[in-house]
Amino acid sequence: MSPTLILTSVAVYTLVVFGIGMWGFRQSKRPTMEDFFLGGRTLGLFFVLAATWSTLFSAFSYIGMPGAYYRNGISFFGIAGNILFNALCMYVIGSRMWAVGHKFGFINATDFFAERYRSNWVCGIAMLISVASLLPYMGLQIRGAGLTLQGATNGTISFETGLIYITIVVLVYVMLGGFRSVIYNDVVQACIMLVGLVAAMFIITAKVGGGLGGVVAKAAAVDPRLVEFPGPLGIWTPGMVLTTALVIGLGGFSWPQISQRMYATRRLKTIKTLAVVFPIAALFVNIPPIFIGLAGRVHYPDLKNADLVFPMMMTDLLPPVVGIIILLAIMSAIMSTVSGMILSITSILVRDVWVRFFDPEAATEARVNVISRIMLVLVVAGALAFVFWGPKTLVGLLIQASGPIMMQVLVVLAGGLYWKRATKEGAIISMIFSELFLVLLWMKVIVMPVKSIHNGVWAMMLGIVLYIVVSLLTKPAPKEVIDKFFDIFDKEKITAK
Amino acid sequence: MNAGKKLLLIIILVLLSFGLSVPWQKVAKPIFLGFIPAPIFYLLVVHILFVIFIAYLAYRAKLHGRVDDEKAFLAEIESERRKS
Repeated sequence: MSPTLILTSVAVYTLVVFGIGMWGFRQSKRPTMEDFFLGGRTLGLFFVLAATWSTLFSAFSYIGMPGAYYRNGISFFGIAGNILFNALCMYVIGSRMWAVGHKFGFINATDFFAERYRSNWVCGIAMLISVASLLPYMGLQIRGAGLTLQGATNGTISFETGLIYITIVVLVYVMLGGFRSVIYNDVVQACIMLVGLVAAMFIITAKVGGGLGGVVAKAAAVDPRLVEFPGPLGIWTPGMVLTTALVIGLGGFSWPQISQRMYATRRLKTIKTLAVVFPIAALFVNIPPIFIGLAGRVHYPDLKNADLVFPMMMTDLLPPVVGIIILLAIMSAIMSTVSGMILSITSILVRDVWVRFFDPEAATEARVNVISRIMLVLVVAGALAFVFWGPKTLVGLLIQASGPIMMQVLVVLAGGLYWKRATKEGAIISMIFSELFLVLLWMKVIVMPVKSIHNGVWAMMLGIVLYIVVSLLTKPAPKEVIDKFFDIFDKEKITAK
Repeated sequence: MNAGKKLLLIIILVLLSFGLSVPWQKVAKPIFLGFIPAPIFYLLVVHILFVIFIAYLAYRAKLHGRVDDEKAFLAEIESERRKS
């Protein structure tokens, strides 16, 4: 791929992204938080599907997943089941989030916590967990974009230039139209991602093994363990497959940029259909890396860094046009993930810090848009600063454990929506101690007796126990709070009406 | 939904989760359709069964009380907004 071709394609892509951002800006109807962060709660099925799909799948699908299949063979596909737990959450928890969001005007999960538990502490702790979990992950994505552009252009675009370019492009389109710009861009980016990944799978496997079946047969000849569980490294035992899928699925739903989509949806029916269609759509991202990774193992049997397998095949095996599509697909994956994260973190900071504590009137007034845009810049600057200058051990831990960290909040979210007896004390103790326990497990200060269970699941089990026990031991929430949040979910009340 | 039906749904969920955990270890053959290794094929079957389970929950099991009558719920919110 010549640098000129890459630069021209990136420039055209940038113009398209800006154009869509501007379109989102023009679609904005009212200068309110609800409009800027949730697009006025008008999301239909096609948009919510494309947006959730492209936001959830990051550059990991292109770089990390083929590398993982290279190392583990098909056994890595075991964790693809995570998407089913994610979809289950969409229906079971997302439907109730939709209901309370529409009824009480919540913007994100944390402001639901403040009202449901009548506690700024619950809201504040959940907010801290969300920001701590997302900020480094977001910085990492932006950093990955810089590296991708540098690598693809053989240094014509330097790492710093690539990084600044991606940051500015995402910032501009998010600032222009907020949620609408993000969603419209997500749709286009989802299409590029889909085309890129599927095309790469067919072309690479045709060249390496004469087709999908040929690659599987050749991989089995290289090492028979590549086509069976628990894989060549012996990692993917039943316990590890199930608990990792649980952690990724539940953690993925807990990420604010995903759960927030439930508030933004116009109809409950859309969420129900999303929960059914999403796991099928996800297969289009989860299946191609299997064959790309196996083809890599056949083509380059002794790679030291397996994560380089897809970029190397991109350069060696794909025609320039497809290579460009893949490059744009990787950038799309990064941009869609980052834009969703930026908007979610900003909404949390604006709604739960600025509006809650300093300026309650701003929620429905035009100045909230100015505040939100200033906060967007601060969030991106914070993410980059944290990744570049933050303490290395902490940054590494937060990036690796981003999903499991957020998963601990899910207990409090699901409990708040389903269990009348849940109390703020239970929520606070559950979140603090499960997160602390997770950190201790991650740092190997505590080692659990059963090793084939993911650390996140151990922490979640502790969180559930503490949530239940402490809630039962403390004073129940006031009756008006219970009535406010549970009347709408009460079947008897329908009959009474 | 009565307690028996809830219990049945939980049992089905546990069984499906067991299926997702890939109990068929060290199985490599047959290769279905010429390119899908057996473990992936079985997983895809469980995947589809799980999707059917979610579809049943979403469209048949009424888990959300009054909210399940979406039109009435939205109309109620609209009328409350008008009043306020």
